[in-house]
Amino acid sequence: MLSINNVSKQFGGIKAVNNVSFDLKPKEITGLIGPNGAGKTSLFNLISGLEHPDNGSIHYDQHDITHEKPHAISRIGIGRAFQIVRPYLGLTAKENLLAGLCFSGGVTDIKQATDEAERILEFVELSDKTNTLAYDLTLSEKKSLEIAKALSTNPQLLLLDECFAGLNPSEMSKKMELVNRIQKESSITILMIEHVMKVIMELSQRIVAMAMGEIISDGTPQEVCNDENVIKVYIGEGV
Amino acid sequence: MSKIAKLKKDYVILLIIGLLFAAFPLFIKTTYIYSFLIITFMYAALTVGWNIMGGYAGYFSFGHVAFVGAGGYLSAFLLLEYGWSPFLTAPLAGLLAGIIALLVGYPCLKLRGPYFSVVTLIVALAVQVVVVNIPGLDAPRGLFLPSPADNVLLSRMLLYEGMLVLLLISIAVAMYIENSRLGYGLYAIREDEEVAETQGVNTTELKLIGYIISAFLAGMVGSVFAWYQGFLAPDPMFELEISVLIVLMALIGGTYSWVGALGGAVVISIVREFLMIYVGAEASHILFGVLLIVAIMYLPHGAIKWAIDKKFSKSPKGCS
Repeated sequence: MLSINNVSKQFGGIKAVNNVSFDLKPKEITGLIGPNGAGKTSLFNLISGLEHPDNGSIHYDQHDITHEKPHAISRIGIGRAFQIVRPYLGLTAKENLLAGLCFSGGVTDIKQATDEAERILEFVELSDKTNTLAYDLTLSEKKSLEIAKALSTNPQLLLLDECFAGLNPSEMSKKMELVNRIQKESSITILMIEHVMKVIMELSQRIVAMAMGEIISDGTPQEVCNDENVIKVYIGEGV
Repeated sequence: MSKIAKLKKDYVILLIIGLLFAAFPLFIKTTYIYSFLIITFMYAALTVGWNIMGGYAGYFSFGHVAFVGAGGYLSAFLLLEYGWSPFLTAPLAGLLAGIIALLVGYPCLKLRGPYFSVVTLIVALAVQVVVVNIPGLDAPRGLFLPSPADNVLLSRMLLYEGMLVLLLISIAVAMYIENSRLGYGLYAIREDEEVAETQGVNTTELKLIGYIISAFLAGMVGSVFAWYQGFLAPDPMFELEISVLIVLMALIGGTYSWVGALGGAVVISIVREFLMIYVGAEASHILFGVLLIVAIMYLPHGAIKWAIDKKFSKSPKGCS
């Protein structure tokens, strides 16, 4: 699946990602946690090709994607939902999915793409909003659309960046159920950045914790939560 | 009805309307009308073509006249040198414009927003300088082109038919793109280029394709425009006003679809004609400047879309 080897990325004097390595197992949900500025989103940018690492390599299946362009990475099966939702505001929910379907989802015919878009919107429970402008959707709906857009590229690996931030509890449990369904029904591997511990503990089979650009803990949710390094980073050291 | 069937129906409607316009010379025998319609159709074709890049992809070219001028001069040269009709060499003119777009677009489409616009403006000036200095073309002294026919009215009628065909081609291309893979890729680029990339859209390639198509259409228009002018001088062929008017027409009409671009071009052409007759050229320039500012400030999605939203207002936000 995905294999990250000794990857580093520096912005000016800041080491955003420092010598990070880990592998993902197929069909697992892996949580990526860490305080703000830990380098989680930077790591996502490196995987999806929006940034390229200074050192190290990233492999996906047989492909070396270390220096690939984002569109090529999307086409080989890595889908991404952004932390700050970035729908195509001027397009309807359905139209938002068409580019992904046509260019990465392997659909060539517009008619077929439209049908497929409706199916995906139904899957993420937006079927009553297909012809609504993305601009007019609520935050929760926009987040669902963000996931739908990532799904439109027909991914085998899904990168979810804080899909739960800013949602109320009922919206949150719906989204959790959705992520579960994605993994069960489509057997997609998921790597998700999340701050909400309830979500991450319930959904993930494995957690990788980052701080200051480095991996500080890697294991089952219980192991990571009891890891002294993790506690230190989140709570701070006793006086 | 499926979208494909609808598209076919749209083409049939377009063809029927086109045939109706094509029949005008059977009934109307006034030279002036044809002069007006030729220029109106020219701007309409240019605006609809410009909109492929400006509206769908959100890349504003302020130098579209470069393609008109280059295409026009190529056709004029082929007419003078070999006697080939610009009607037949229009695709060659389009090809030349497309090649220029490829050469300019490859490095420049990496720029976004105003930077891209400024570069296209400079490119238009550069293309003019190149054309003026081609040895043997004698562009600065001006080129006299033989008319399509001996009779002025007949000449105008022929040019009118030629420009009509180019307008119909532009509309057909735009209509096709709006419901195609290319179209949805360009929309994605307009909305958020980085996200489009992560959705599998090869943005570099797509922008280049869009720009080349847009330029090709303008180059073809240039060849008929050159013939219409009769006497070809660099200034009118590379007139900056043409570039600006195209942008103004698209913005006034609305950039989201070819309908807006066409509507804007027709409305502005009519207004412009009235101003030229009753107010004079200088004052009309000032008025258009003001109009452009107002359009950009208050109607970012065009008057037609604004009117639709106003009428069927669902949200007070207008649109986005």
